[in-house]
Amino acid sequence: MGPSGAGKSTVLQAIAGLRRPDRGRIAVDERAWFDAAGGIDLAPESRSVGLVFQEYALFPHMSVRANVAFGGPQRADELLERFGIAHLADVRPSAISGGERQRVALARALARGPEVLLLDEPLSALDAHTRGVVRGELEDLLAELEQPALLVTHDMRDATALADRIGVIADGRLRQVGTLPELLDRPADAFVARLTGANVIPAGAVVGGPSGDGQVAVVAHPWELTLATAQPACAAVPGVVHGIVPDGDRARVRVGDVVVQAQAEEVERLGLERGASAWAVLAPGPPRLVAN
Amino acid sequence: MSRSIAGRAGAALPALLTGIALAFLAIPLVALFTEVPLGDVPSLLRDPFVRDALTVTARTNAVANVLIVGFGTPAAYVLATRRFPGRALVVTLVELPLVLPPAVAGIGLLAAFGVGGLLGGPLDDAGIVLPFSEWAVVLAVTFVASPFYLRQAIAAFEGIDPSLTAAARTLGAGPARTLLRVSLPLAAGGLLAGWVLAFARGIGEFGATIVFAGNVRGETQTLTLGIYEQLDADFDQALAIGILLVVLSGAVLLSYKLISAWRSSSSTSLSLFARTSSQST
Repeated sequence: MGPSGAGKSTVLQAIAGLRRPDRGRIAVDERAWFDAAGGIDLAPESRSVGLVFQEYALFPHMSVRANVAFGGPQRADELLERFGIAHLADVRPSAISGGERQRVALARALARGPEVLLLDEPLSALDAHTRGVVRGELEDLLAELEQPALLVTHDMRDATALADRIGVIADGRLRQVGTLPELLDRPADAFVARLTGANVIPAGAVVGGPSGDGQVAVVAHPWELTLATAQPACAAVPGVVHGIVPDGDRARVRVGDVVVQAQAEEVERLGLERGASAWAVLAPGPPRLVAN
Repeated sequence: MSRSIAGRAGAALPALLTGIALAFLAIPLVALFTEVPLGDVPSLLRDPFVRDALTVTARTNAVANVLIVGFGTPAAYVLATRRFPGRALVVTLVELPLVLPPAVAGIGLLAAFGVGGLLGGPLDDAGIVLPFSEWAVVLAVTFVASPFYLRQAIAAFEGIDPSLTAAARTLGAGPARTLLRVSLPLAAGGLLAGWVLAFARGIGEFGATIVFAGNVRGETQTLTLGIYEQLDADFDQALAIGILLVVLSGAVLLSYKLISAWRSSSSTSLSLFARTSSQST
């Protein structure tokens, strides 16, 4: 997971054999597909990957069935059934919807019986509603899949819904690999923290908090903070209320640069509104620190 | 008052110029069909002279077109898909015969393959004499017509979304199977359009042929060379051959337009997939 330009697709392409890394090793179990030191570089067709491209790359001149059968004729019918697209078998890709094309792309990638499934931003080409539906379907698929799957996305929701472990990439570097609780609780740096939606507050802005120069920051998730109208006894960040966004029975309140997720009735009780002074109160206990 | 007269004259001027231009282009074509009694044309074309010229044209162009497509298609594929130093130069070289005067092409071929030419010695040792032979016509036609095919073919292969060929490779297809099942079908429309143009150019070739192959009836005299010979001897026959070639050219132009229209109608649905993926994630 990471922002655009981070190098996520490049990783998938390297694993698939479409791009050649300068250094390193790519192996499945003990079999090396690429080894710079050992001079090994298997061609893409000799590796065993199923790659689902961001824009699906379906062959426009072939029917849905021919697309799926391209990688593995034997499993084509079975996969068409399994993905619920058997009724589209003789249709061209241009005549079906985005969600249907996604399923064709998945079926085609799996037809070959690959050892590794690679998914490049599988949901970003879909509209918001379809995205939610397909995310659920992908969740089911990945749960019953025996092969390892590597999914690339810039959307945190995809990562949290679909991944066992999340690797955060930025500027071509892997910042941290871990489960979602690990990323939330022990972010490796400010970048990872921000990516998970946490507040990264310079230590100097926290009153009653850890002392330190501007090089240290406190990481606090919006749901870990509470609101107050007067300075509390524990560590807190003062600020002016910039915005209040209702979200069901909760509300996201922006105090200065800090986002607090509080109960809507709490916000009402405090009588907070835009322009008012308020405090974002940190949870008791040792704060989470990262380099700023 | 004077302004409106000048205004009207200003509006009429482009129309007048267009009219003159169209008339200039139309008059020779019209004259072809009116200067010879159209009823005589079939019998004029049945003359053995015309039949010989037709046979030479058909044979030499058939071979030339096979060479153009046979060598040109893989060459275009390589040029379209590989990047190497000097590629721009090679592509320019391939396009050169397009702007080269045909007579210059003929002289060049003579200088290369003629008896005293660059490759004249080795050819002579092998017992092959090219100038003024039917193979000379084949070479002349191939030389002038191939850029028409190559340019379109290169563009056709370049227009294929690289993620499609990449997808084929990840699905287990080697380079050959990818070319056969993905690249060629997708490029087919462009290849066909290019071939139609090359075919037309080849049929109409004159300058390089007459310089390199000469004008020998039954051996190197194509239809266009036949017109040239009959200018003094039998003008009506020259006109008749001209009419035949106009009809042929018209058919070629029509096919080209039909192919292009078919391609653009099917590519609106292909355009979704024809985007080159420029996003980097």
